[in-house]
This record gives sequence, C-alpha cells and structure tokens, in this order.
Amino acid sequence: MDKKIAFVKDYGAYLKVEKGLITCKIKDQVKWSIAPTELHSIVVLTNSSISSEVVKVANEYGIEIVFFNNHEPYAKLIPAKYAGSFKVWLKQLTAWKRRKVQFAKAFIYGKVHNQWVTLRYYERKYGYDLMSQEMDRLAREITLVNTAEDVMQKEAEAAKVYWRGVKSLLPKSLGFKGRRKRVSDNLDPFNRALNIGYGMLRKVVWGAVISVGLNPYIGFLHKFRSGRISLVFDLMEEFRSPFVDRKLIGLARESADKVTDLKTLYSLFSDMKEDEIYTQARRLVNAILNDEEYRPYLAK
Amino acid sequence: MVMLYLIFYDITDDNLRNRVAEFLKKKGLDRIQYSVFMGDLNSSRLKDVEAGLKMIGNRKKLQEDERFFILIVPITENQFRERIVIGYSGSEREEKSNVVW
Repeated sequence: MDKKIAFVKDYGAYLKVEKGLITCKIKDQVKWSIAPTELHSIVVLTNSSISSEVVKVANEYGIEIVFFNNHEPYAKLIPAKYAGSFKVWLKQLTAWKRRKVQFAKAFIYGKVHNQWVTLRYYERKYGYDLMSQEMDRLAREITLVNTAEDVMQKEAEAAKVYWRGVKSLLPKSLGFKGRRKRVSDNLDPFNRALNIGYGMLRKVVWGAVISVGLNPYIGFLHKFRSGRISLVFDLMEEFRSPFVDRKLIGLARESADKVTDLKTLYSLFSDMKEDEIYTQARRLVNAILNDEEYRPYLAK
Repeated sequence: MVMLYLIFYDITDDNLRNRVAEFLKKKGLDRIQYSVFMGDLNSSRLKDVEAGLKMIGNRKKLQEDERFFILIVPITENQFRERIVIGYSGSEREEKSNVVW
C-alpha cells in the first residue's frame, strides 16, 4: 500500500496527536485522523496551528511537513540532525565556480527537450502542427553555446514556441493566453493550476535535494540570493513539462471545469514520480562529487 | 516484503478490547469489522504489532470465563480479491485514494 499525503486546507485547523493518530480538527470537528505509519507528507495549505508533538511524531516516522502559501511551498521542516554533507557542499561550491555553464546547459537542455517531447506527443497523436521541430532545433543549439546568458536566451526562445503550442491545445473557454508567473487574483485558471503543479513539484525536488545531502541554496542556473533555494529551481526545470504540464494539458482537454477544482489538482500532483526525481538528484550529486558530466532527465 | 494481514480478536474485557482496537488503529491498520482489522505490514511492523498486542494481553490476569484471543492471518492480495461480500458495511476496504483532504 502506498503511503498517503495529507492536506491541511481548512482555515484555522489544528493539528495534534490523539491516541497516536495525527488528527486535523477545526474547533471540535475532526477533519481527518490517520496513523503516522500511513503518511509520507503533510502539506499545510492555509493558516493553521500545529502541535509540537506532531512535529516530533513526524520526525520519528520520516513524514515531511511542508507549508504552502499561494500554492507555493515557502517552508519545510528539516530534522535537527540533518546537516547535509560537508564534503558535498564544498564540492558544490567548487563546481559552482568552475562548471556553472556546463550544469546550466544540462538543466535547460533537459527542459527544452522535454517541452519538445510534450508538443511532439500531440503532433503525432492528433496531427496538429505545433512547431515542435523549432523546439528540437533550439535544444540542439543549447549544446553549442558557451555562456549562461546564451543559455537563458535559448530558453526564452523555446518558451515562446512552447507556450504558444500549449495554448492551442487547450479549450478556448479557459482563456489561457500564455504563461504568467505573477501570482495575482485575476490569474486565469490554467496558470493557477500550473502554479499548483509547480508548487507540488518543487516540494518533491526540495525533499530530494536535501535527502542526497546537496545544499539547496547553491544553484548553477538560478542566481544566488540569500534564502532562495536556487538548486531546487535548477533541478525542477527538467520535470516541469513532463510531470506537470502534460498532466494538466490532459486534464484540461478532458474537462475544463476540473482545472478549477483544488482537490482534483492537488490529488493529480500527489503521485509525482518521486523515484525519478530522487534518481536525478543522485545523478546530480554524483556528477558534482566525481567531476563527471551531468545527464539531465529526458522524457520519452 | 509487505504482506496483507487480517487480525481477528475475541476479547471479553472491555478495557483490553478497546486498548487493542486503539493500538491497531495507531499502527495504521483499517477496521473492517467490529473485531477485525486489516492492513499491509512488513516483517518489522508485524513484529511490532505482535509485541504490542502481547503486552496488552499481559496487563491482566484472566479469570476462567474470560477470553483474550487474537489471530493474525496473512493473506495474499489475490486471495483477498477473491473474497465474497454479503451485505454492506461502510468500512469495507475499497480502493482508497492516497490523498487525505
């Protein structure tokens, strides 16, 4: 039996341990109650309180606790015993100095390749023309450039083609005009759904990066900024299209209404292919430790 | 290796019986009848459940007319799928989603 993921979505909820079960209550009404052995994550989506005993039990059973705001994870509890691995962190800094472009290229090559795979899937299946060959060309060009700026440039070009393709795959009623990152009140449903998907993806990648002992703050592609988990953003790039966009495009084409239902969305992303993400994090740490080439995740 | 287990009990003492039920819930097993639980356990969790139940049983010296009797039966998923269900119970194990909302 697969372990479950529990969401705290009710405003003012209180999480505590009762008779050994992790219980979510509002006033005296029990929202859910579950044995710690059955859980792998607790995701807190809204303002609520958590008893310190829950934290203790979660630590004992290896349950991750992640806090979301506006569908983005902003905090994650890390056990006091975690300190990463100092050797890895030092190697990571050396790699950041010497091999930044190499890693940046790998991440973006993976990203564009996987975006191409997504578009090509629909071209082959339904005979649409989504300009996927353009994406393919850009992916190849990424392997030839030599600076981080050029990599970013290619990424931006690919993004234009990609989101135009995605737009034509979606029902017109969703009113999707292109990818908007800004979190605002009048965001269209599909962009909001994308944010939820990327939020859930970031949560998993964050966990994977930490579990292999990498320092999440030292990234190659995304700039250094105090408190920004740049490496997590880096590693996420490869998975956005295959793990989030593809699922959402499928859902939206099936029924435009489903894209607005929070439970459907969070459930859709609760069974992220964690194995693949953890494997990729291990590849990354090996590439850093052994000065080897990093091979990005390539979707099929 | 993970295996599906059915746990039946017949316990006369109310206090012990409640303890057993609560204990099994705490260990992540599903209550499918008043005195039947079921769930997936690996060998270490099975040992843990077994030891816990023994401890609860040792709490009280039983009188002649009292019973404290627990069966833990392993079954395969295939055997479980062959089950015959008569009647309806809200707690019969269904295919559950992995999301607690």
